[in-house]
Amino acid sequence: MFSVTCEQHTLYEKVQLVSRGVSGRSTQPIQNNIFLQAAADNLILVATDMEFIGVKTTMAVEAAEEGTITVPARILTDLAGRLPPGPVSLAADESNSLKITGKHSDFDIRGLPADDFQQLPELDDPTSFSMTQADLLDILDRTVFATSTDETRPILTGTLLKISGKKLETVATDTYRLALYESLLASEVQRDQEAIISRRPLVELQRILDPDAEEEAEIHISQNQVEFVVGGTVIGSRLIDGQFVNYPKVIPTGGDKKITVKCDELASALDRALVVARQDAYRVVLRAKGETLTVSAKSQDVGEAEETLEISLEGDEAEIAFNAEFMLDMLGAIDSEELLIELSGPLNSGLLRPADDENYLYVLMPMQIM
Amino acid sequence: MNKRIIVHADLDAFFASVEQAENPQYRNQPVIVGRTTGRGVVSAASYEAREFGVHSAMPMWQARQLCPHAIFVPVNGELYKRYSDHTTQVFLSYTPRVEPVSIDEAYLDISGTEKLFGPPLEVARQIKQKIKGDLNIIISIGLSSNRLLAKMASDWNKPDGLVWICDEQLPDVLDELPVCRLSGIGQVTQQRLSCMGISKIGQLRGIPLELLEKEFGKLGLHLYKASRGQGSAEVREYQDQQGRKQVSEEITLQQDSRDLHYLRMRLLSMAANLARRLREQRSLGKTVTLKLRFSNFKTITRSITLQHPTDNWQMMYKAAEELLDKMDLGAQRVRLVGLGLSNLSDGTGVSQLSLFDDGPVQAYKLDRACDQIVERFGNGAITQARLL
Repeated sequence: MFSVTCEQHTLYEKVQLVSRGVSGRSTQPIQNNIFLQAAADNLILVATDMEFIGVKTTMAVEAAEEGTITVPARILTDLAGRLPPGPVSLAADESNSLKITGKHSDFDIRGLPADDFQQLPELDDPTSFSMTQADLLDILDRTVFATSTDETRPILTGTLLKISGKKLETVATDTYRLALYESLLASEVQRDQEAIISRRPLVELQRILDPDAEEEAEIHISQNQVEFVVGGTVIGSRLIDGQFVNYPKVIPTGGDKKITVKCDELASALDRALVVARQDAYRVVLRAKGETLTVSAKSQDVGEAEETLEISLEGDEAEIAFNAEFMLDMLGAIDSEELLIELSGPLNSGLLRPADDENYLYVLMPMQIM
Repeated sequence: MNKRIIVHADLDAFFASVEQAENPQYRNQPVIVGRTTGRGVVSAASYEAREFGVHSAMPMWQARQLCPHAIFVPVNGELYKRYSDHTTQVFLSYTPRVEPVSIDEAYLDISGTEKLFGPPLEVARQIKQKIKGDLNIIISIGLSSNRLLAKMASDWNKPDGLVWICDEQLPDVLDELPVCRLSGIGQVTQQRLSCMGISKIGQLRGIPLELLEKEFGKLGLHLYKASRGQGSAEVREYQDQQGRKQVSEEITLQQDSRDLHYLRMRLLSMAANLARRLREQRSLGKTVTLKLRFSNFKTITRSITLQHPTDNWQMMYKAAEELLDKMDLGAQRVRLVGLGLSNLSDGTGVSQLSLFDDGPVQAYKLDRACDQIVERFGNGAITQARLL
């Protein structure tokens, strides 16, 4: 029962990939294991914490005998990474131990019977669509960073995917800032759908998406689960239950002061100002007047910083304080030349978006100017 | 002054260690913390990642090349601050002289704590254990008679180090160390020293003061002293670094009273005054303290710490009222009421407004509008209706 031969480096790569499905906090020890299944010429690897994430991947192997076993993810990863390059054979016996044989190595790793291993259930009647890996990565890069890490409001730790017809809205907010990206799907979905997806599977997805790949990524969403299929890998998760915040009402419309600034220049200025601002909750004060924007920061302990940039300004002069990290997060996610900042007052939210892309917007709430 | 015992505590690979503590699946894995999108540099690398040559301040793309299988994590400042604050609290349980110099480093003066906590090395071990136990992160500790040496000691045996440089070992113990290990010596100074044929601290000590001063100006004296292991041993008290301590007000009632409504109105009026004073000095208070003195002159105080620091009278009054309601006055009459705001800050970490809750913005606007009215028309021009 269960015997395969494969290459060390492929095994290590795949084991590392699926081991991200292990949370290490599972109350059931077996869920800290990787499930291995030898079938035909494939080895299927699965790990899941049964809640936030499940990762499943397939690799081509020479399978001598079909079968299943589970072994601790950490041990298997440690070992696979340390074996020398070359063929590795894995074989399990009735006593549920996995024999791993490399060029000069022989290991017997204690496992647990695969029957007890739980996997995320199959999706029930999902809404499905696909897009290029580059597009999906772009959507995630521009939104997921804005999710909250505050576990007391689970809804906000997730990213909303709202699909209606051909339109996909992706939204994330931690109540201080909100990122919204609108994109168009290649074709209409069978049924409109909303899903709030935890950060973990999305971060893992960002890791495996290849913007140069030709093969598209598939997205399947059911009432309570989501699955992303990329190449031979499936990343799944249970959806976060509940109603997402009423985000359209916080998107400002009346910004009468419009600043256009070079992204690169603003990013470097903020980066430098942070040296000081870090000591004051990352606060920087932006002042736009005429053709200049000054970015300043002040801290009792460190000192003061002031950066001057050339801008174009429509409307009256403006002053507002923002969290510099929040601005840099957004600037890091876009590759446009110019950024548009629309402001109304020092205590009202500002609207930031790439000058050449109306589909992406970032709403940022100010900090008080003391 | 008695011989001082200075501790330098340095949290090892701090951001990366916190991520590993928070995410058990990251343990024993190379973890790289930094801005993961766009133009970013490495903020911290776990020791597993350092084995691949990754170090902080390295561009992210380079780190990815050196260690493609690492776990890349975005910077989570709030989380690291929480961990850092906790370590400061641990330090403060041994000595009030704690001077944080950055989020992951602090100096402590533990002179004279022997009777309470045991010999210095024992204190250091306790601190290491407590931090490991509470937070599951490791810390390197150096002990010596001044800050310069304590820092070198903590650097000696990282990670998880514990080194004491005693005066008896001086100055020979420094001889073989590279000069860059002395604080205040950057790349430029190091290069200039190297041109003079000096790479080790022992060699630096051989140079006369006049020559160093001629070559390096003011820095010369520092180099001269540092190469002999001499430096400042002053560690400021933690409280003194936290700025103005508190604002408070108290009034002796015209007649002793146990009329709760009357007491509440006095508190309301004091809260309004204190809030205005805080706004004037541009600071925020986090701890509200209520003080009552009874007819028999017995005095009690009760405090509550708010979730967020504030300069808003409503928040203060609500807390004061809550404190008053919890006290059982019984038959006692109150002679004096006091209200205080402490734990003051300059607004750090509080003033981020929320997209979905405009309460704080409204309160902020209202308070400032009232301040302007008072400024123009004088005290009493506008006040809470309940006080009329």
